[in-house]
Amino acid sequence: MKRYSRAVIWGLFIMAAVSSCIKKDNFDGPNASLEGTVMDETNKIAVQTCTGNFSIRLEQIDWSDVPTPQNIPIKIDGTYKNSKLFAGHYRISLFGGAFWPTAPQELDIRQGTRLDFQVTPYLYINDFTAELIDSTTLKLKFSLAAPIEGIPNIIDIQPYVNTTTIVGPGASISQYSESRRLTPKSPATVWEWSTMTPAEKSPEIIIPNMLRGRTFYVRVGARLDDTQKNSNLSPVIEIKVP
Amino acid sequence: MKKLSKLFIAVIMGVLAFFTSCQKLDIKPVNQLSDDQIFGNESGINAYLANVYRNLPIEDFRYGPATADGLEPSETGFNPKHSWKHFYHSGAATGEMVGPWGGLSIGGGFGYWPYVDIRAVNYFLETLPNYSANYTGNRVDELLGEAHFLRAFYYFGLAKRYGGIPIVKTVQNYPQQSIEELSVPRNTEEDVWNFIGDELDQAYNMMPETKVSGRANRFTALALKSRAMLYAGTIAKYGSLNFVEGDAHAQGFVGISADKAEGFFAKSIDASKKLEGKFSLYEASADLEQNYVDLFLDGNNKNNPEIIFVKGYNPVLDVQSPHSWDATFSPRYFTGGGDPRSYPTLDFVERFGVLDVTNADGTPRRYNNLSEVGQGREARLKATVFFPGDVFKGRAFDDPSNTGVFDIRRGIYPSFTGKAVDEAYLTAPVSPSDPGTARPMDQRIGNNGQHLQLADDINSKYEGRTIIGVTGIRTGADNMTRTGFYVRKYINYKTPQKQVDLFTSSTPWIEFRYAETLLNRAEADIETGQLDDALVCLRQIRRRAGATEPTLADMTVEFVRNERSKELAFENHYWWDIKRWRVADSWLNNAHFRGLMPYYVLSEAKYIFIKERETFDRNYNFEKKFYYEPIPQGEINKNSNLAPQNPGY
Amino acid sequence: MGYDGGTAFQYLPGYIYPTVDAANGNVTVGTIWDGRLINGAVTRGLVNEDLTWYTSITKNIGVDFNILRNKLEGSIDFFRRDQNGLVAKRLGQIPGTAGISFPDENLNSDRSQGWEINLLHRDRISKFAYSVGGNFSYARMMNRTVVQAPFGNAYDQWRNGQTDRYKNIWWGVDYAGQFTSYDQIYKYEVNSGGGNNNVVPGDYYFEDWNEDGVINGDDYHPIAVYDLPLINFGFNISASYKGIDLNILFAGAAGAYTQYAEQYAEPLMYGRSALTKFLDSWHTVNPDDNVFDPNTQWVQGKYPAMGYNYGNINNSTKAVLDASYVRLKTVELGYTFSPDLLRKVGVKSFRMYVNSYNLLTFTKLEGVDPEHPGQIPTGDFQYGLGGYKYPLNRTFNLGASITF
Repeated sequence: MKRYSRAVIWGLFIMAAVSSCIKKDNFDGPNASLEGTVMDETNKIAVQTCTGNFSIRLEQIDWSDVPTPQNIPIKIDGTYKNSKLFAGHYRISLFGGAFWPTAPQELDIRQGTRLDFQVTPYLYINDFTAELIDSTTLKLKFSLAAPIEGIPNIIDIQPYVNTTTIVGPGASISQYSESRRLTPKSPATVWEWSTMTPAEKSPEIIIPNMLRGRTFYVRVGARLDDTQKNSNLSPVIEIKVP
Repeated sequence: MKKLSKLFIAVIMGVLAFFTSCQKLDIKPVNQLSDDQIFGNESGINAYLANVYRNLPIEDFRYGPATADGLEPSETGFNPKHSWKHFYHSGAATGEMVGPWGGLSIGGGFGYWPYVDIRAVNYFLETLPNYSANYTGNRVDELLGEAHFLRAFYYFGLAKRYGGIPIVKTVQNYPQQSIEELSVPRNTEEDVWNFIGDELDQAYNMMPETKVSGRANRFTALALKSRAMLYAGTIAKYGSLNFVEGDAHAQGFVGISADKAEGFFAKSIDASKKLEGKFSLYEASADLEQNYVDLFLDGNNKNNPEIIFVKGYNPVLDVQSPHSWDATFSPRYFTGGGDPRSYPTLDFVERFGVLDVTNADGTPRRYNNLSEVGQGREARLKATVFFPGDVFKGRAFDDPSNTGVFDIRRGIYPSFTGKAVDEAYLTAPVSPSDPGTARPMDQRIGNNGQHLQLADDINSKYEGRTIIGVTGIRTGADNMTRTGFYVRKYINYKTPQKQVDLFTSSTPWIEFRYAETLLNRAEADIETGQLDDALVCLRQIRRRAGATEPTLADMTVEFVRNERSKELAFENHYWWDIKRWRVADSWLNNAHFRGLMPYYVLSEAKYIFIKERETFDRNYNFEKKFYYEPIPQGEINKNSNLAPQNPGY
Repeated sequence: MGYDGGTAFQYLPGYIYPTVDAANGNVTVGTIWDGRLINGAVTRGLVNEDLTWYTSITKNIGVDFNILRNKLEGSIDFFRRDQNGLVAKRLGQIPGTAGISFPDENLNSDRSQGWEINLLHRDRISKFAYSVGGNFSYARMMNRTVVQAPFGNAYDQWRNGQTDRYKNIWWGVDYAGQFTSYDQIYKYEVNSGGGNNNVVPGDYYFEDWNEDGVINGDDYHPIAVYDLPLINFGFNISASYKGIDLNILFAGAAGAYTQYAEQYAEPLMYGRSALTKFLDSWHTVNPDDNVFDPNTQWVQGKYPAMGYNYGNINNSTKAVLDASYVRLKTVELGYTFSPDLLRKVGVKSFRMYVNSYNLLTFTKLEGVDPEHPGQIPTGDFQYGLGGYKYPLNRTFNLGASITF
């Protein structure tokens, strides 16, 4: 009996010890990292964006002349990070995003490399307020401003409402967001900035039937008719519906 | 004595063995064919070309447009392995239908790079002239012409996806040529379309007129040229207005300059006109609806005047040869196996005219029977789509209670007042890309009536009546219609119910038909201002369809595009059309599509039809980069001269 | 070594006729002209006149010993087997625009190496004889040369490179935990889709390995190995005393991983039934509660709430489970009657025994037999039959062996 139990214990011990110390791979994994913030050029704070709305594109030019690009998605706070990259010399650019194009940069990526970007968005959404006008109707007011002339046309302006802190294009509740969007009066399909009236540049959005007893996170965004239909977003406001 | 005779026998055996065993085991296997056997006679040529034909980029029943949403890599592309999932149709991602795609999942394509087949054609073109002694008359030229057509078809499949790709006209070898020589660069998109046009000219000049079903002749070359040059013309005209910036565009690898459009349109019209008199529209029966249905089932008939080129299927010959169109587009109630998953949208049906299911004040019209909604519609519409209440004529049903009626009902309203649009929407829709706000299902109370009754089970009852119809519309799964309609085109109504199952359909796929040529011609005419000629073409199409006769004032770009979308529905054209017209990004801009939902109003004992979002309410969004697919990354890694990648990727 | 791979008659140029669809059970395919199937002929491509058998070089160094006056014997072996000339096509290096069908060539090579140790201790104390033994082996396979397409960047090479790489690496993400409260969900920094507005307490979440804010293929790293176990071991005790003999054998394996499939992995698959283990899941206190309302009360459980998409856990350390096991393979107790007794009856020898095979299994897996393969990323349904293979039987035997 003793032998039996000892054998079992011996077996289990080996089993556990060995399984955990098997080397699963003999190649060294990536251990370089790149992180940074995409900042607004004028006021030096992180741009307003949502997860994955644009990405940082990396091309490893010391590997080949036409490397396969790698993309790091942007996070909701305007920062990006990828801690599992291979060290090397890369060309880094912004891929997408409702900003004026910026030039790519080249740098060596090692452990803990930082690179910040300075961009100018097409549109600022200023004076954004969100308040409950009666217990379940939300009113949003804001005004648009374009720092540089000649922006692409605006396709629509819509609110984004979500129950979590991650809110924006691709992260919203469609009943409160997509369905409440503002579009140009037909037959026009887009707004041209130079022909927009001041009323159109400072609109108001009403969202009725908010669920009671919940907390929502709200922002607005303007979608521009560039190649990737990117949006410029406002800051996020937390609303507690009683 | 015994020993001696044994020895004697042994010696004789040994000597015999010695002489007879010296046969070299050097016999070549007899099923290995050599160039001589292939190129030396007609049957060898046929075998060689049969493989080339099989691999042509014909987007038929089985074509899988992309790997996404449940379609495996082995099930995408042309002639995919064991594929029966025909509901993964390109029309189901673009608004003709709604289907199992989660959205616009086909934008990135599946990586089509058929240079192995192009090399086979190049080899044919280089080798056949060496064997011309074996053939009489112009046979060699005819075969070479056929090869030019096949090569043009492959390059057409490449050009419409990628724009400019390397044009390889000669056979390449390794290791005789180095990898640097084999790393061919991209040609500009304009060069590729011109190459296709030139190849088809050569094909037309060299090929005969002999008609073999499934095999090309000079008219097939003209039909392809009519299509290809039209594509090039619209890409030139509209692609210069709506494009994605990038290196590939700046260097001409994608996009054609707008001034070339006229030339391409002229070539297309020229090719289409040469087919006039050789083909005509199928008008075998006076019953226009039946005529249109039979057109698609009559592909094997050599006397069908509209067919220019078909791809055949045969149920007898090998397990993979038949397709499953009937089983995967008809409800299970009418088949012996298989389930449908793609259904025509109301937005498609309303191309034929807005359905008049509401009164002038917006309240829904009351109907005594479901079948009344389909009455009085255009014959071509009824022949393309099944409406609620339609009867599935011609097929024998094993179950006597199955009368073949499309019993499509979504639910029961205990009572209903007010307007249809208020019931279904909080804000009214304007177009698929401006789809309004749907009313949530838990607020569907018939405008101050009682709650709408829905069900997932065809046996569920409310007050003694079944809530949903035998063929739809369920709240849960998608094996019954999501839109209130079923596809009718290509459905073979003659097969008995039990015999309709997966891999039992043998209806041939009609790749080129004269109606498309007339539409190509009409579109090119309107783009170049030749409205009279366009009127002639469209008049024929509409007369055959049972539609009202068009007038010269109707000859606009929108009109001919709409006519094309109606005539060529579900034939894998629409996806390429909205891409080449560069309207895909505005048509599919967070688009939601609608269906026609039949309801029974209990308090009135009548049926009403409400236009509302299809039951899954999916959202389709086209990104501008999808106007061109990305060059397969693996190829760029092997050949850096293929850079730059198409813009946006 | 004599293993030959590659297509037959490769060295002869020519055409394959009729063409077959290799992905589909080699059914004949062609095109249909005038209703008749015309078989196709396709070029065999380039030929390789130098195709040969694989060569296999096996090296072994070991020690066999027998010490302590026959009380302890054993052996220790280290082995390495290199196979060269494995068949592969050169496709990955030549631009596809050449359209060349490459022949099989002896291009690749691999290696299998490991060690094995065997020990046996025998002794006898007057009438009581016993022996105790065990064996333990470890073998690892790796690829040495594999012809592949060029890689686009260093990450691509790490992710997909096979040259000088261990074989059968299972890639996946790390499991990080279950959400326990709405607050945790609302503040969660990783976007798992829709801004996490579809997530309820009890759902699994994974570790963002590269810290980029999303969980996707970029978070894949080696988490396990698949296919045959790396380590095999066994342990054996036998004893005999007078006429009684006892034999116990344990066998086991480690370094094997598997993944549950189909009904073992998730409840209500195909809209059908579920295993009762899934009843222990997160659920709201009242069945009608709105799961997205942050005031809803939940009862904790082991599995996530119904409706969770179990496809998310595939290839993660939650689903990829350690399939190590120790199994009591054989227990046999027998008695041999003394020959004197038997002579009277005319029987030369008579042994009676009771034994049991597969009596006990110790493993972390539930409900599936660890000796049967389970689902692996490169296998299709046939490989493990979704875990539905019948487990090995536990048998009990009673028998006798009689010689007349």
